[in-house]
Amino acid sequence: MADAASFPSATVLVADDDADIRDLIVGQLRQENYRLLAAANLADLRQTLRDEAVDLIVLDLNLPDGDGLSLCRELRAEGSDVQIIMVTARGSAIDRVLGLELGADDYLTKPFEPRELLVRIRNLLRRARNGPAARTGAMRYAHIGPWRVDLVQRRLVAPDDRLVMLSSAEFRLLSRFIDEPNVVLDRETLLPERRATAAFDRSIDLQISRLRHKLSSLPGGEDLILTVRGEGYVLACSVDHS
Amino acid sequence: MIRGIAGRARAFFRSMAGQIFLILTLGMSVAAIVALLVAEQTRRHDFERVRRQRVLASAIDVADRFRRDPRRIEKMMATHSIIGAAPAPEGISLNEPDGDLQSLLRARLGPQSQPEAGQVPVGLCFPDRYRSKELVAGLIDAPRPDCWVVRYTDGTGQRRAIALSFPRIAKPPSTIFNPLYLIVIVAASAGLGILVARIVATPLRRLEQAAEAFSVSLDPEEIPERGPEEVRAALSTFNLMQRRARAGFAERTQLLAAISHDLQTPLTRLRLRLELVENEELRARLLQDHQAMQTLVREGLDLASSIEAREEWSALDIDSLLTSMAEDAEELGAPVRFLSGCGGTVRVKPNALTRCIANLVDNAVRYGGSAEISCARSGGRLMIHVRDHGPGIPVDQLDQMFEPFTRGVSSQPGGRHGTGIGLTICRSLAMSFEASVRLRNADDGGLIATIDMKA
Repeated sequence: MADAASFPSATVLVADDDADIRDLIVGQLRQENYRLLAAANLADLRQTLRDEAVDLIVLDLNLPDGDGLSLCRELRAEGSDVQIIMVTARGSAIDRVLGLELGADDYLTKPFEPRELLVRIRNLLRRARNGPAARTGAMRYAHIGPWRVDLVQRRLVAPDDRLVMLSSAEFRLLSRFIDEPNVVLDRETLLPERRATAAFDRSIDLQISRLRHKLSSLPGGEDLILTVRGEGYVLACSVDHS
Repeated sequence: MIRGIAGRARAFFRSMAGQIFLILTLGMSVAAIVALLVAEQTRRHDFERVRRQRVLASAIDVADRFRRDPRRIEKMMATHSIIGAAPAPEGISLNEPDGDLQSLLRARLGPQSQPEAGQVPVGLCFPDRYRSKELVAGLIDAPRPDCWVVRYTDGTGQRRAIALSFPRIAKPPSTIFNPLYLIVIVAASAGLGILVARIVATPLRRLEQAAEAFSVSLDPEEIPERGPEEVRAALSTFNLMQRRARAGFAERTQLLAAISHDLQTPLTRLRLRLELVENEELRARLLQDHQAMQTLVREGLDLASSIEAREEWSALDIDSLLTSMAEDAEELGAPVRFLSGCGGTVRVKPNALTRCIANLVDNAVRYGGSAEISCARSGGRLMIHVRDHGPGIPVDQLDQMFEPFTRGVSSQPGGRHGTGIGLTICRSLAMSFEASVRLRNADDGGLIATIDMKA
């Protein structure tokens, strides 16, 4: 509530062909003090975008007069930086990859937890306020040393396309490092969910050592994550996105 | 050793290649031997004809000379001045008159000649040479001349008897029972038999391999329709069957997918409306029901998409997958351990394999209380084992567990929960990357689920 209250003017557009769902989502979002608009099809949606300044679209993929995916691509081609959360009944990993590659910022599968939608909208709006440059959601890969990190499928890809899987904890750590390369991160930053005990928690050392082990399976991957004694860890390389 | 060879021989002759080999070898050998016998017969016939021709030529020659100058010839014959012809002794009976020769003579000497002709012992031609004289050792086996007697009535009505002698023609020995011939015939037949058996068996083998591939994967490649007409027809029928089976399966899957998909919209509405229910207790119960329905729909969609399996093949570091899955489960508090890896990479569809293992781990935790993941390579295969230490499954129900909507019995811990399609999804996902899933009870209790794939 605090976040929403500090940005009372955010405009959210809900596009869904099912009137009930549209109204119900709008009803849910109303609690959050957003300015709310609705569209039942692509034509409505385009018209609204022309008339209003929209911050975020909750976009259903299957609209009666067209595909949400192509709209997404169009908007990005025009240079629009409106935030897009795709909502779809399709749920496979391929759709998720496609949606995110075509420029959606987040992706939800129907049926979803209403609260989850709220949280994601809030996160995206906050990210947009903090800095418009950081649209990493549209970036599929981050390059570190010899590795590519697949940010969507959450795994490492070697130059010969061999896949190395990451556990959720390892991926969380790695994406934290990728967000801030060449910055020393302390335990509390790396392990926010255990902030209180992080200083004594050895599990982060274990996770770091596992991650290092996986990264060092390629030559040039050995010294990517360095220990800074008494301070924490650092990803010692530049990160390119593609 | 001997029993082993006998067993292999029996297996070979039971195979089609073996039977073709046997039939061709026997048949061709018999045919070749019969052909040789016929040739032998013809040769003997020709030999007789050549001999007869000689007799005929001499007899006609002598008869001609008699006709021209009977007096002088009689004298010359009596003094043995004509080599190869002499007066025949009186009173010889021809034991084996040569009918063919007699009719030839009759044709040449005229119908009144009443010719008689036959081979006689050599002594009759040379009464003085062979009767009383002795031979040195080296000549004992020397071929003696053939001796023929021809009698006929000439144009003046006089009956003449001539003894004709010829150098013996050696009858060439019969070749048919020469072992070399027999060996060549049998060897050639056997070689041909093996070749034909190969040619016939190859497309059948291809068909068999294709059928096997079809039994493991629902999406195998079609067999190229090559070879002779009948083989092509069989392969094309097989491909057609394969397409039909796949189409039927796809239809069923699409139906499931369509139903599951269409249920998502009302479920979304329902979920959003549930936020409006104010009675907390009622809301909690409704949410539970909603969750159950949603799980079913999601698994239905998963099952449908698992069969389509549009995912790309990738090389995957197998141990990184297994350790990550164990760590993720541990993080969520599930008792899952990674026991041993097998190193290296394997070509799979990574998301399908991940989901497949996850389902097995879920089952192990739900029905067995814990899960242990291990990996082993043997004989070109890679096997991922997920084992629990639960009660296991009665042997007669093991196969049934892969059928959709089959669940552990309700008396089991965790029984009667879940949708009952976890293993079905697992199996069809495994098929999509050409692996198979098996269940078996461990000797010391618990269930072992194994994903078996090409290493």
